[in-house]
Formats: sequence, C-alpha cells, structure tokens
Amino acid sequence: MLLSRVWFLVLAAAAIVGLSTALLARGVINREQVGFVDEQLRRDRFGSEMLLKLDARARIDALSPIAADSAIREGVRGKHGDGQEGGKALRERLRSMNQQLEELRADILIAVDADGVIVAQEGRRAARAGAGLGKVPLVARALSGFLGDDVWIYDGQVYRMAARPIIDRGAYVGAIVHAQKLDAVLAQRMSERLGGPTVGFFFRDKVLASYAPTDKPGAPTPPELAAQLTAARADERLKRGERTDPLELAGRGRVVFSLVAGSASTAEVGYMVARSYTTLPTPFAIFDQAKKEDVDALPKLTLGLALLGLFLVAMGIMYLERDRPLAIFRAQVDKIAEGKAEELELAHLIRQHRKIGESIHKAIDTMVAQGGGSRHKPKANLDEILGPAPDNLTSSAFSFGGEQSSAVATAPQPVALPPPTSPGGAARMPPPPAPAKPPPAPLKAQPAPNLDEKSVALRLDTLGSLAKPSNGNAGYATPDEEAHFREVFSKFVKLREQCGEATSDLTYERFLGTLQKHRDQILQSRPEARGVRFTVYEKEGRAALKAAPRKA
Amino acid sequence: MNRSVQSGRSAAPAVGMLLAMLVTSAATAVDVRGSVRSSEEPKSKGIEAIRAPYWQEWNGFIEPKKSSVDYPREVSAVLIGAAEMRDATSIALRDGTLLPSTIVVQHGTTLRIRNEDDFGHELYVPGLKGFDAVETSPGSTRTIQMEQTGVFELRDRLSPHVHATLHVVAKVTQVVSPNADGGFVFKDVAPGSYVVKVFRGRSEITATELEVANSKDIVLTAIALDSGAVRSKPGK
Repeated sequence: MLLSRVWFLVLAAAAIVGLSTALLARGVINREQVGFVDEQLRRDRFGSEMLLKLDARARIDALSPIAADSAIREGVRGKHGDGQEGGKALRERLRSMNQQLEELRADILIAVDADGVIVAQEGRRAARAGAGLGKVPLVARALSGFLGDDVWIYDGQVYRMAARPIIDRGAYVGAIVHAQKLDAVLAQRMSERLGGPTVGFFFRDKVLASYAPTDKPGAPTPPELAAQLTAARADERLKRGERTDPLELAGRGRVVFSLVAGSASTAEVGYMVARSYTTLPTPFAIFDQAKKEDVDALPKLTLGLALLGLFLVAMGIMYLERDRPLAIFRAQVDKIAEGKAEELELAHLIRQHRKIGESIHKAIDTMVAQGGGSRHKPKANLDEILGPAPDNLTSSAFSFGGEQSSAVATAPQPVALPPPTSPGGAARMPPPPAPAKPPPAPLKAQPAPNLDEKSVALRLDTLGSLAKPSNGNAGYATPDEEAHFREVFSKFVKLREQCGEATSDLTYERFLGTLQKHRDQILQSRPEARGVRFTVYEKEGRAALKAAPRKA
Repeated sequence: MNRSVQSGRSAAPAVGMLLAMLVTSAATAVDVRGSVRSSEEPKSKGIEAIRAPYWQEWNGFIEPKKSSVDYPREVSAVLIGAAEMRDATSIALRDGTLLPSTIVVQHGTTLRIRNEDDFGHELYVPGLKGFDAVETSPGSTRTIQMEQTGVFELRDRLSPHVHATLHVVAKVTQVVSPNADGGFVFKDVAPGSYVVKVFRGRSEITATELEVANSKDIVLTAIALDSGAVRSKPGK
C-alpha cells in the first residue's frame, strides 16, 4: 500500500499546488489589472494635458479673425460702452463672429478697450458701466501684446479662457477675451479621445461636470469620483500641481486627480480621470473571464494524455497493491474452501492480508478446538509417518493420524531444526521433538507436530541428509529395492489420495531418503536381516506404512 | 509757499531748521504734498498660479507694452498725527482686482470694500477674525470692523490674482493713494507733529517726522520706493 499512499500524497500535493497556483494567479492577475489601469491613467493624464493644451491653443487661434475684424477694432477704439448704441453694434458683431466658431464657440466673448474696460460682451448681460478686466493678468497681458489662456472662476462658473490683443493702426487698442465653460461636453470629448475613461471636472469638493462612457459597462460613476475628492484635495502632490497617485474606487476602479493649468488651479479647480478594472473574486472566476481563444489555445491533447497517464498510474497502483493481493488472498481462501489447502500461505500475502490470515487461522483453531478436533490434517511428515526406526524390530507399522501406532523399537536421534525463516510461519513453528528414549515397543502414536509445509520440507531434507547408512548397504538401493521403494511410494501416494490427504508435497526423493533411513536403522538393529520391506496400509482413515525386515 | 522736507536721518537737522522758519503766528490747516517714485522698471509678470497656463506668448506683430509701477494700486501714504481718522476706509474691487492693494486702516475703524466689477468676489483674510470668505456680488459693498492690529494678507477665493496687504495700525490721521505719477496730497492738515509713512505691500518704505506749524503747504521730498524699507527720524 506504500505506492497508494505515496500516490495519494502526490495527488494531495498536486491539489495544494494547483489551489495555491490558482490563488496566487488570482492575486497576480488582480495586481496586474490594477497596474495596467494605473499605467492607463498615467497616460490618460498625459493625454488630458495634451488635449487641454491643444484646446487652449485652438481657442486662442480661433480669436484671430475676431481680433482682426475691422468692425471690432473700430468699436474697441471708439470705446463705446457696452450698453451704448455703439456697444450694441459691437455686441452684434461679436455674436455673429462667435457663431462662426462652431465647436469653439464661446459661452462668453468679451471685447475690452486699451484700459481693460468692457466695451461689449456676448453671452451674458451687458456689463455695468465702467466695469473692466484690465487688472486681471490674462487681460492685462493681452493688452500688453501677449496672447494666452487661463482658467477663471467667473460668475460662479468655471471657464476656460483665451485672450488676444486687438491691434489697430500699429497700436494695442484692446483685447478679445474668450470663455468656454468647463462642462460635460469637454469631458465627453476628452473621454472619447482618451479611449473611454470617465472624465470629470471639480471645483473644490464639488463636481462641476463629468462624463461616464455609456458603452463601457461598469465605468466609474461621477458620485464614485466625488467620493474621493476629499482624499485627493488632501494630497500634497495635488497641492503642488502634480497629479495624485491613483485612488481606489470601491475595489473596481482607479481615479487620478490633477489641477487645471491656470489661475483657477489656486482655487482648487481640476479634472479627474477614472477607469474601471475587473478583478477575480475567486480563483474559479477565471473561467468566466476566459474567452473562446483562450480555450482554443489550451493544449488539449497534452492535458488529455496527462489525465490518461494519471488515471493509468492510479489503476496500476490499485492493481499492484489492492487487486492482485486480493486475488491471491481469495485464491488461497478458495483452496482452503476446496480442501486443497489446510491453511493460508501467509508468506505470499501482503501484510494486511497476512494479519487477516492469521486472524482466520486463530478463528479456525478456536472453532475446531471447541468442536474437539484439530484443524490440521497430518502433514506429509515421513518421520511421523514412519516413526523412529526401531533398534530391534522385526517389523514396524506406520500410520497417519494423531497417534503413531508403529512398533518402532528404536527412535532416531532428535534433530535440531533450524528456526523458521518464513515470516508467516513463525507463529506456527513447533518445538523440536523431545529426544526419544527407547520406548517399550510398541510405541504410542504421538500427536503430529504442527509444522507448516516449509518446515516439513526442511525437516525432510535434514532427515534425508542425516540418514546415512551405518553399514555397507547404507545410502544405496539395489535395483530390487529401488523397484520396491517406487512401488511403495506409488501405493502410498495413491492411498493418501484415496484418504483425501494432500500429496503435493510428497516427493519420491524425500520419500526414498526416509525409507532408506528406516531401512538402515532396521538393518543396524537386525544385522542378520537381508533387507527391509515396506507395506502400505490404511489406518484410521489415513495412509500408513509398515516396515518389516527380511530374514536371510 | 511750498517747502520741501528731507526725509532720512541725515536730513533731519535741516528739516527742523526749515520748519522752524516756516512757523507763523496764525496756524491754519495746510496741504502736505509728497511723491513716490521708482527708478526700476517692473518686470512683466506672468499669471501666478499653482499651475501656469499653457500658453503665454507675444503676438508677433508689435513690441509688447512696457509695464510701469502702478502707484495708485501698490502704494499707500499715511499721515499719523494727534488727530485720529474716524471715518471708514473705502477700497474698491475694480478692473478685476483690489484698488489699492496696499491698504492701511486704523484699528477700530471700518473697512468698506465696494465691488465695482461685473462679477463676484469672495475676499477673506487668513488669521483676521471676522474676515471670512463671503461673496461680494457686483455692485455691493462689504464692511468689516478692524478689531485687530497687524499686517494681513487679503485674498480672493475665486480670483487668485486678487490679493492685497492690509495694515491695521493703532492710529492714523489720513491715508491717501498716489496718483499714476506717484504724487499724493494730505489735505487740510492741522498744525502739529506728524509722521508720514509710505507702505508698499508688506513693506514700510519710509517714516518721516513732520511738523506742521503755519498755513503754508508743505512739499515733501520725493520718496524712492526702491530704497527699501527705511525708517527715518527727521528733525522739525
């Protein structure tokens, strides 16, 4: 079962590695997603700056035809008040020219004279008499000959501003000031050109305008952006005019904040760009994220082969460690059931089955003992069969069974058996037979020692090797004897079979050795005998042998 | 007859002798005239902001106008004598900024700020109690009682370029702003001892002691703004 355990360990390790990989992959993927969005936002901020700068330039340039318009130059030079007749004409001219700007059309278009006083303005009510903008840096610079842009908070609104000087007859006679609201239209234009982020403008803690793309499911919403305004305004980088680090939007998006370029930056006017990202809530969510091409790219054949290989390894291990040992165990049990074996061959069983076998043996022993019998049939132990060779014997009888009824006069010297080497047979090793003193003939049958097959074979070998003839006839057989021994063996085997006794462990060589040993012992005790004859007979349902010396 | 008064520590004895000669038996109110001048051409400033605008460039056709010191806006001349100024000090939000940007007010008096612009402002003074950011709509006037002496920065929450320096002093007789040429006049100055101070932003440019003793108008020597904040103690 070692392989099975190792296999289960391998499978558990593989499962843990797989789960860990999935969890790590989830974290890595989520972090990569966040990093990717942060990088996108960094580019968005750069792109926003470029767009706003180009937008400012476009508005400045759009003022060129207005600043060069003769009617406007005349009107500014004439210093007509905004509410006066000349101012009204100038206002109409401004309106007309403003309409031509189309996308760059100003929400407020103002003409100021050389002192910065408002001469006419389009897009809001007529200015109060004498009201001016001459000290506002953008206008002051325009009146000095500079064109430029800025962002103002004007009338409670935030405007992108642009201004150009009006030059007439070689002198600066005034300036044109262009104002466009920082509104959702600009936010939408920026979002579309940046590729779909949510864009908004803020003034302190208030969102002025915003645009969330409708074709981007899950795009951050303006309220989500507004929720981060407090944190953004506390950011030292924002206060220095830099962009903030990306801020988290409820775990599903990131947003960066930046102040606008211009005066209003000091008043905390800025813009914000946000993008959403998708994270994996669980490792298994990766299956929902996978696309068809991802599935197509899987090495299906390799995975299939790996699956098959793992299955085969598991099946092989199951066969080696479960099915085959079980089959062996079952076969042995079947043998017992069929009477072909008396007990399990524990040496051939795996450890678990061996323990079960030992338990079975104990159970059988207990049951048989309770029934007054013995589980063991006599073994093919020829020593027991033949008994000790009598020293002074005219004939001896041998039989199988619990008692040995042979009339052996002399018993062989006890033989010290080596300890059993089979692990399964250790428990069943009988004690060596006690030294047999020359008993009064006839000897009583002794209980068959409880030897397993290996021990029996070993003992037979030992006995065979020790059975050296002490006289000249020892250790050989004449052709006549040979034929006799074979006949006896044949009859003995046949009778055992008839008695239902096992014969598989009975070999002629061992049988012969034992017969010779007994023959030799008899001949030693009866030197006048010419030989020994063995007779097979049945005694108490078991095969037995008799040995009788032949007279000279 | 106009007499000039030297300012500065070295001119004090001469001023004292001159003033003594001008004393007449009948003491009546006179005008005290003075002037400030700056020999340095102010540098053309761009838009001051945390983030500068994207574009600020010359138009390419005509040379830019040279800028000059805006005396009326930047400078305030103060006469300090026995009499106290009880009237409110009035300033204006005009042309998109505060006029003047150097404001001198006597402690305990009222500062009135009238918005003559076409758009609203939210003026405030950090650290000055009662001067929080409150909108002053076009055409309206905001009034603040000066209960704390010191030098403060007055700012606008909506228009960052709008800022001024507010000097709240213990005693003031008259406060005047120079004209575009730098000249200023303290009118109807009663005989007595005075100190003339000139402020520009946070700086007190000069402090000149003045003795008004007869009915003749007095002309002070021109005060150079570039000399820095020098306090003088002239004689009578």
